[in-house]
Amino acid sequence: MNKFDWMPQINFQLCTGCKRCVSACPTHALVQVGKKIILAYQDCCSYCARCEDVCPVGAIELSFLILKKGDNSDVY
Amino acid sequence: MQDLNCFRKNVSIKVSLQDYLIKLVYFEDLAEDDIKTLVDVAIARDYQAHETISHEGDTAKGLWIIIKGRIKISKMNAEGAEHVLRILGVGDTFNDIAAFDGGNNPATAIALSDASLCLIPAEYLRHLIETDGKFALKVVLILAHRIRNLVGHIEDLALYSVIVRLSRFLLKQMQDPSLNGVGVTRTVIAAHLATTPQTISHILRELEGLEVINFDRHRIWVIDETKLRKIAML
Repeated sequence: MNKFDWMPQINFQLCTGCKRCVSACPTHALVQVGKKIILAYQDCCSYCARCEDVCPVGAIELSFLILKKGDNSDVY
Repeated sequence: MQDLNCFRKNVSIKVSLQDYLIKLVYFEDLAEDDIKTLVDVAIARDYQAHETISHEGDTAKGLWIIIKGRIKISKMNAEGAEHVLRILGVGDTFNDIAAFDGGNNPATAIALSDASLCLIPAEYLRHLIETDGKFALKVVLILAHRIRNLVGHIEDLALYSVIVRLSRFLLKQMQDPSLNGVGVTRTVIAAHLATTPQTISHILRELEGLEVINFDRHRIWVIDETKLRKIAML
């Protein structure tokens, strides 16, 4: 499992480049490149999921890992 | 002993297929010769996240076994609204019903994450049913268990509120790490629990406020299982 797997995943086939996610991102991690949006600053992403909430076409998805307190999360 | 890499170049798994298959409930009691034939007829396939494995209505090729990754089994209406029937992980099987009754695929299977699968052709499964009584009994028991799970899912959807359904989902995911991880998004959870991603977010925040869970980036930690069970009415 690499670090990138746990970043917001943007489906470029669905993304229309409307920039709503760019405006909603509180840490300015998203930028527009051409007609698509990319997660340019991964280290800035706080995983708040606002981008996912505002995307009108469901192009952004954030995966979750559900764990019991005390489980070893290092493997994930 | 045959390794998956030996019979399909594109499969990157290093476990022995034979060792893997005999650990599955379906095949744990098969005779050695049958296991060898099973490995010979098995077809390994790799899929990327979001790739469709089998379409609802298409002729069933056989029984799919998950070796790596997560799969969703879903039904979709003409408007594109999706209901996720099941989220499956390593060691789970799908398309069992169509593999045994020879009918079409009852639902669509899509990879939630990169996945490695193994397909056991329907013809060989039917041969096993006809020749191995123990295997036939296993099939009956597994399909009965599957029906119980589906009845439980219908019960959840029909009789319980979203917070109860989501609490039950969190408990299930927490107990089975193979179901958990990349691909399990709010959209997928919402499509499984017949609600919207926004409602899932709202209820997760409610559970956080009740000090049942907390968030750490992509991790949802269940910090009070007893309270979560109470909310889940279990």
